[in-house]
Amino acid sequence: MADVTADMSEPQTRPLRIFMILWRGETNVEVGLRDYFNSEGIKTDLIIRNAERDKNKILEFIQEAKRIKPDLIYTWGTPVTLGVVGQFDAIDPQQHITDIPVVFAMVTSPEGSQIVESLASSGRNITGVSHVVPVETQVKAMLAYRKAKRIAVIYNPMENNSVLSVRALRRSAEVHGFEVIDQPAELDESGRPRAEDIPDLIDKVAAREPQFLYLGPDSFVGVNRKTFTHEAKVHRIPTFTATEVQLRDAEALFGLVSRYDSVGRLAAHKIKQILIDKIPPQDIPIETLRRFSYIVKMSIAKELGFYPPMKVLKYAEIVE
Amino acid sequence: MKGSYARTIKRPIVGLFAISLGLLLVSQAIMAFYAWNLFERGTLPSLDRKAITVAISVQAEIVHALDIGIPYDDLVGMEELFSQVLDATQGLAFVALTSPAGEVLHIHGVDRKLLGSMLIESSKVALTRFNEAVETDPSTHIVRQSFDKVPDSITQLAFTDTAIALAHNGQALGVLHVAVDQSFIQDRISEIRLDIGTVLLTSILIALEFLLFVVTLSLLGPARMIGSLLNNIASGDFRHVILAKYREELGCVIERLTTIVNNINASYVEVVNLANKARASTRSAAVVAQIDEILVKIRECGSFPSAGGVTSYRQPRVINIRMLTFLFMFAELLSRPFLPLYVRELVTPLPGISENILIGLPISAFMLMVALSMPIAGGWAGRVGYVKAYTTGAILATIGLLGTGLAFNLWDLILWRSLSGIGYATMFMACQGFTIDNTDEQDRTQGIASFVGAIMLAEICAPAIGGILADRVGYTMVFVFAAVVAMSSSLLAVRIIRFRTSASPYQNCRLRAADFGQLLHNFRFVILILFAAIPTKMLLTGYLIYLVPVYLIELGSSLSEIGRAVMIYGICTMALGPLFARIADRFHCHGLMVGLGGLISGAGLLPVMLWPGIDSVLLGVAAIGIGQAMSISPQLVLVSQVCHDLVQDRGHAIILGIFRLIERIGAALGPVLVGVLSAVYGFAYAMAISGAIAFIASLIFSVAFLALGLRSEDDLNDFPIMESSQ
Repeated sequence: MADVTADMSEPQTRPLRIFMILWRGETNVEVGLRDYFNSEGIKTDLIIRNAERDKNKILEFIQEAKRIKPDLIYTWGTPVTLGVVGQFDAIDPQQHITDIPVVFAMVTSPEGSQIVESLASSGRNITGVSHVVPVETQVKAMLAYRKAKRIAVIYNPMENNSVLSVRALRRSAEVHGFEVIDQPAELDESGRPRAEDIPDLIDKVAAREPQFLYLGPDSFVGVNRKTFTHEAKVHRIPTFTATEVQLRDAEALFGLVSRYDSVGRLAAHKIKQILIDKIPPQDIPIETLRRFSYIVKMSIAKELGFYPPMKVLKYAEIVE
Repeated sequence: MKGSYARTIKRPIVGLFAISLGLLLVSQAIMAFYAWNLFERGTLPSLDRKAITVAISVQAEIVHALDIGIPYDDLVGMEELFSQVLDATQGLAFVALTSPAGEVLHIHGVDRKLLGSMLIESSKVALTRFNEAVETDPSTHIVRQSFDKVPDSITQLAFTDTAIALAHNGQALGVLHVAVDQSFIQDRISEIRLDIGTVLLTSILIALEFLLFVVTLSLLGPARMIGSLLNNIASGDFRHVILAKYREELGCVIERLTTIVNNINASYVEVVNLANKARASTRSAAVVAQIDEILVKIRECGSFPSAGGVTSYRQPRVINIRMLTFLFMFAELLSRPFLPLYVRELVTPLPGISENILIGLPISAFMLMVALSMPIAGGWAGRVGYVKAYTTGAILATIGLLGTGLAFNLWDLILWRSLSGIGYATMFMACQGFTIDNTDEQDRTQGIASFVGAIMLAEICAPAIGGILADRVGYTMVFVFAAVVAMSSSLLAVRIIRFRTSASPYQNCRLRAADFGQLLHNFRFVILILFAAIPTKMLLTGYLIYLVPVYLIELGSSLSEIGRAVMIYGICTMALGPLFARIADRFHCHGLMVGLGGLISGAGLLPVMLWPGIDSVLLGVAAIGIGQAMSISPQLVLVSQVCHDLVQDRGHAIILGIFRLIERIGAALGPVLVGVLSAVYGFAYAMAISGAIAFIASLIFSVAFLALGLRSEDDLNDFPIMESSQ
C-alpha cells in the first residue's frame, strides 16, 4: 500500500519540513502522525515547538516560522490554531500565516471558533481535523449504557465550544425525552471559573439525582478532570466523557472518544494530500473521524456497581 | 359426416389420456413424497442446529461479560440481548436463562408465567450432563426436550427446548434455554405441502394441455380427416382428398387413400373422355343415347370433382393457436402475484406523490398500451399474416419482459411494461384473428371456446407457478423465465403455423370517429360501459393485480401464497364461466347476469373492512372470479342488443372493438385509482371502497336497465368473442 502510493506521486527528493506548534507538548496525536508518515514511507523533517499553554509564545513561533519558511505548519488545539491563522473574517497578514499551508488538529469546533466559515472548504490556505464526536452520537452512546431521565452537565459559560455543545445536548434531550440539568460554573472577578468551586457544583447537580454527568470538550473541565470525576464518583454519579484523557488519566466511567492517534493519522493524511498529491488546502474538507471508540473503565464500574449491558459489551473497549 | 372412425380412434385416445394422467399422478406423487422427505431431512434439523448455534454464541457472550468482571447477579440487558437474538433468527419461540433449579431469571419471547415448571427438568439434565462431561466441547452438553400443545391448557405453547449449562471457571451458574417454535415448523410444513400440491395440479394441467396438443395435431386430427374421407368414398363422393403430409402409418394410409381417390377420378375422366370420343365418332342416335345413359349411370355412382379438381380437408388448426395462446398468456401472467411488489422495490420517492400511486403507473401503462394497440394490431395482423404478427409480438414481449426484470428505476420500467403491452396485444390479436379466420360458422364457437380455455388455463397455472418461483429464485429470474417462454412461443409459431391465411373481415375493420359518436349517443350503451363494463374491469386490474399482492405481503403472506390466491380467480372463471353463459343464453337473462355479477364482485370486497385478513382477501378474489364468470359473455350479448341497429349497419366487430377499447382504457385507470385510494386510506379500505364503488355502479346499471328495458331480442345473434382478464 505504502509503495503503491509512493509510486503514484512524484518521487520525494527531500524530507518534508513541517513546523509543528503544540499547546502542551507531544501527545498521542503526534504518535499517530509519525506512525502514518513511517508506514507511508514519507520522509519528514519535523521542527517541534511547545507553547506550554502560553499564548505569548505562539507569537514568537509565528515569527520564527516566517523566517525559516517550512513546507507546512501543523497546529495543535484551538488557541494555537487561532493564533497562527486568525479568525476567517479578521486576518492580518502581518500577524498571521497566509502563504504557508496550515493543517490543524484537535480543534473542537472549527466553525464555532470561526477558524473557518464552512467545513467543506476553508476558502484559504488551511485545512484540518476535528476530534469531537457529534453530541447526538454521544447521547446515543450514553443511553445505550442505561436509559436516563436526567443528564447533568457542568461547563464554563465563557467557553464558546461548551455553550454550543450544551445547546446541542438540549436538542438531543428533546428527541430522546430526558431532562438536561445544566450547571454553568460561577466566575470570579476576572471572569474565570474557580477550581475550588467544583465540589459545590457537583453537590448541586447531585441533589437533582441525574443518571449521568456529561463531561464535554470544555477546557475548565479538562484541566480539573481529576477533581470532577472523583467528586462525581463520591456522589455515585456515573460520568460520561467526550475526551479520552478523562478515562486514561481520571476517573470517568465511560465515553465515546476519538482516539488521539487516529486523529494524528487523519491529519498526517491531509499533510500528504497537500505536499505530495499537491491538492490545494482549500479543496480538502475539514473532517472529524468516522469511527469512534466506546471505552468503559471497568474499575470505576465495579466501584459504582454500575455495569455495562450485554449489548454494549459487543463493541466496547474495556479498560481497567 | 362424423364417422365412426373418429369415434373408434377417440376411445383409445381417452384411454391414453387416462393412462397418462394416472402415470403423471403417480410420478408426481412420488416426486412430491421425495421432495417432502428432503425438506424434512433438511429444514427441520437445520432449525435445531440453529438453536444450538444460538445457544453456544449467547453462552459465549455471557462468559465474556463474566470474564471482564461483571458479577453473574449484576448482568445487565439480558432481555435486550435475547430479543436481538430472536429478531435475527426466524423460528425461535424464546430465549431464557434459568437458575440451576430451573427458575427463570431472564427471558424474552414469551411471558415467563406461561412456562410454569416446563424448564425445570431440562435444566436439571443439562447441569448433570455438564457435571459428568469429560469433553470440553459445549455442544456435547446440549439437552433437548419437546413440549407439544396441550389441548386444554391455557398456555398453548409448543416448542423444543435446547438447554445448555452456563458455566464460568468450571462452575455451573445457570442454564441457557433456546426454544424452537413448533408452530413455526407447522406453518412451514403446511406452506410446503400447499406448494407441492399447487405444483402437482398445475403441472398436470399443463402436461394434459401439451398431450391434447400433440394428440390432436398428429393423431386425432388426421384420424378425423381419414374418417371423413372414408365416409365420402363409401358414399361415392370422390371430390375430396387429404393434402397435408403426415409421417409413418397415418401418412401411408392417407397417401394410399389419396391415390385411390385420384385413380378413381382419373379413371372417371378417362371413361368420360372415351365415351365422348365414342359419341363423337358415331352417327347412330341409338348409340349416342346408350352412351349418354352409361354416363348418367356412372355419374349416379358417385360425385366426381368438377373442373376445379379435388379439394383438401382443413387441418385442425385451432389447436395450434390454443397452445400459442396459452404460452403468451402464461409468460405474461407469471408475474401477476408480485408485479406491484417488484415495482415498489424500484420506486424512489417523489415529493408530493404517494409511493402507492407511483406503483400503479407501470401496471396502468401496460393496460393502456394493450387497449390502444389492440385495434391497430388487429388490422396489421390481418395484413401481414398471423405468423409474422405473432412472432413480432412475441419478440416485443420478450424484450419487454427482460427489460422489466432488469429495470433500473420506475421510469424505464414503465417503458418496458408498455413494450410488453404492445407485444401482448399483438399476440392476442394474432391468435384471435387466426381463430376466427380458421373456423366457419359451425365450429367457430368451439374454436373460440378452445382459445378462451387456453387463457383460463394460463390464469390458473401462471400466477401459482410465478409465486413459487419468485419465492425461490427472485423476481428477476421469473421475468427472465417469462421472456424465455415468450421467445420459445415465437419459435413454435413459426414451426406449427405453416399456412398463409387471408385477412378476415373481423380484423380488417377500422374504427371511425363517427362510430364512437354514434355509440356515445346510445344511452343504454353508455350506461352499460360506464356502470358495468368499466367498473368490473377496474376491479380486476386495481384489486386483483395491484391491491391483492401488496396487501397480502403486508399481512405476512409469502409470494407462493399470493400466487395461490390469485389462482382462485382463474379457477372460478374457468369452472363457472361456461355454466353462466349457458344459463344466460337459455333464460335470456343477460342483463340480469351482468348486473348480478357486478353486485357480487363489489359486495365481495366489502368484508375486508370489518375483518381485515387473508380470508377476506380470498373471499374478494373468489367474488371477482364469480362476478366475472357471470358477466363476461352476457356483457357482449348485451352490447349487440343495445346497439342492434348499429351492429346491423357497421358490423359486430367494429362495435365490439369500440366497446373493448373504452373498457380497456377504464382498466388502465384501475391501478392508479386504487393507488390514490390506498395512499389516503390504506390497502384494506382501498379494497372496500373500490368494492363499494363497483357495487353502487352495478346497482345503477341494474336499476337503469330494469327501467329502460332492452330492445327487441328477436334476432339476437349470439356471437362470442374471446375475453381475457386483461
